[in-house]
Amino acid sequence: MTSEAEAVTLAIAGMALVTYATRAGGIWFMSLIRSPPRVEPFLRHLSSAVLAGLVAAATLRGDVATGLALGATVITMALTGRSLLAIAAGVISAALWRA
Amino acid sequence: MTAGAPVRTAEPLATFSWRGIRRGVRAMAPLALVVLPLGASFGMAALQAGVGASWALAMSATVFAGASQFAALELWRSPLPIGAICIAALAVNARHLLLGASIYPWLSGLRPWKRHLAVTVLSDANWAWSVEAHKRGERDVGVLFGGGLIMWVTWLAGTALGAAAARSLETPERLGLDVLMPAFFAAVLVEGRRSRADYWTWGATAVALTVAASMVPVHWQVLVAAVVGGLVGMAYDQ
Repeated sequence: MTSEAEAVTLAIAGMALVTYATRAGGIWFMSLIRSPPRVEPFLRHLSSAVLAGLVAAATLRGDVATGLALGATVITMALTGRSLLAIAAGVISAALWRA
Repeated sequence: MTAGAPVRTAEPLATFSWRGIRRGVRAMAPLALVVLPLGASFGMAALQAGVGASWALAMSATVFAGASQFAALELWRSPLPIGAICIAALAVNARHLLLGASIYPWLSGLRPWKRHLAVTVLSDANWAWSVEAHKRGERDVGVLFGGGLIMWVTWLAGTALGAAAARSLETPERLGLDVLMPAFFAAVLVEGRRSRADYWTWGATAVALTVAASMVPVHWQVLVAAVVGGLVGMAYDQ
């Protein structure tokens, strides 16, 4: 295996392990202890924050089309609640702006 | 794979049967259809990010978590930041911990190995449906597993289709496909909002990111900003 293939294998394996840990961690943790303290609110907000960070990073890095597209996605999502429609609105907005 | 299990909690019983699995598959099948184009968008985005088709498939098969997979694509570059990718996956998927914890009373009726098998395909959609089913009296954990299974299959199929289609696309930017990943995050983000605290979380994260952009290496900016955002959101709630 090339070193690049090794790196990719490690990355994917790591992601898989970590993700399974998040899936099993809840039931494992609950079997040890009864009531989690402030962990729950933090985790809830953390997931939301990571997504927000990724969107913000893409906006900062991107061009006008990116900003327009994400704006369209957010508005469509807020108005319709349909994620596929919202994503399509974003992609189409970017394509139209660049045309 | 039929089982009753010795009762250890207040829950009357929990089972894990083939019949339950089939029920879960049938219940989630319509939603799984929607997962197909989502998987395809990941497959296409993966190829655009420089991830090979077979790697994309391997990722979809073993991780089966869209948001974190797209996040990995955001971080994908040479040399590969393995640590940052894994930590990002941990952070983005952290909500699974709550999903699992919330169904523990039900699952605790099963033996540990069955519980741990059932959650391998835990995700928002089949969790939500199973919780609803449990309220209606469903006790077969197979519905959770079956629902997850069908979504896993369509996620894989979608990834494969997307990866195959991507080969024929020449200018993804012209088609606006480079915003596909961020758009997916944005849609999930908006869908997940629950209270005013979320707006504070988003705002704090955006500010923290702008500040971090000049202080912290690229791959860790989002993580640092997200921790700040998460703390702000938690503080607002209190």
